[in-house]
Amino acid sequence: MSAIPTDQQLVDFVLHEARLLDQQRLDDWLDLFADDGHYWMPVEWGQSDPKLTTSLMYEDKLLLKIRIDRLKGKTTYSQSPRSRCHHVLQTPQVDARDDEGRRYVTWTPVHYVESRADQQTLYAAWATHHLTLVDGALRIRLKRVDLVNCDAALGSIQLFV
Amino acid sequence: MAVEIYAPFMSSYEFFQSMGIRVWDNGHGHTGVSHSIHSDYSAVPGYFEQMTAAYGEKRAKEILDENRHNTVYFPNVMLKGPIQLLRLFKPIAANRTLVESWTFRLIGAPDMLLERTVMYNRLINAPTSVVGHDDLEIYERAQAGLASDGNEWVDIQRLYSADEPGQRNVVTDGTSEWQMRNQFRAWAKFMTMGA
Repeated sequence: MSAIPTDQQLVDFVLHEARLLDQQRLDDWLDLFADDGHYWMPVEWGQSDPKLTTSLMYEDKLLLKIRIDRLKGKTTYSQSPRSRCHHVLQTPQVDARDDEGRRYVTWTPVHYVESRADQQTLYAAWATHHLTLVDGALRIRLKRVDLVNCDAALGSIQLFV
Repeated sequence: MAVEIYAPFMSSYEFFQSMGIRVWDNGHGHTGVSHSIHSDYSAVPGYFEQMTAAYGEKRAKEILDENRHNTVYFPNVMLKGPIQLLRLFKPIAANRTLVESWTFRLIGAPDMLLERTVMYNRLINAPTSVVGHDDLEIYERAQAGLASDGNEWVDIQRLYSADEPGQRNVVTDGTSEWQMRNQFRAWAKFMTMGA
């Protein structure tokens, strides 16, 4: 990638990220995160604080790795049978770009389906990607997933929106 | 902090067996008498000093040395004292339960305590919790078993002894099902009260 990503490259990155999740190429997916990257799924509408207000998820790369390794485990009861997921994305919109600071923000409405055995659940969300460049490659500093029904009584969400 | 929260869940059988259960009257009780999964959390800087200023060193130590696992108030409240977290279990139908999770901020205490409380809530209690996923899977499999007519009894006689009824405020083995029997005894008592 040339020094400055085009809008299309930002869009392609977000689409590719969802594809890796759908194909459960989770180790490749984790590589998309910068070393200090986080995945955040707030529990409150318009939540601004991930640390002193609880969330559905606020995980750094280590916690994401634990989560991914666990999904592969033989004694992971809740993954026998395994879950599958499916993303439908609107075209990501580039909300902010700071070429000098290497900071880019995209906003993407998402429909996410998670299924396991006879159960299938649909979630609607907005994904906000805060991206940066690491050694010339786009990486995620923060992926924020705001569920439309973030504050509802939810059942298990086992994979990644 | 996350490692301190997750790691004790993989403790040995002996760890949970020896942590003990205290069985109270009327279906109440708590796990974690001598120690618990919360025992080895790092001290939060400044908190002990604040507690000492408020209670004196001896009393502050007594309060902070109490590291229970789950305190259960019959019939449907579960409290985690060491991390200021409460769960409320609301039965809605035979196959439907709403679990509410409440986190508490200690007035004037360091923010790190609240940070740990909400992190525990995310990692263990949330619908996205990997611990919760496996727990719920086991509950749902048990529920499927109960819905079948294969066996009309649920076996909770682990470490039963005939002299249990009538004993009060007893400390027992961490893997005993005495506390479960205690809850059903309380249920039978309250359901037949005045009958």
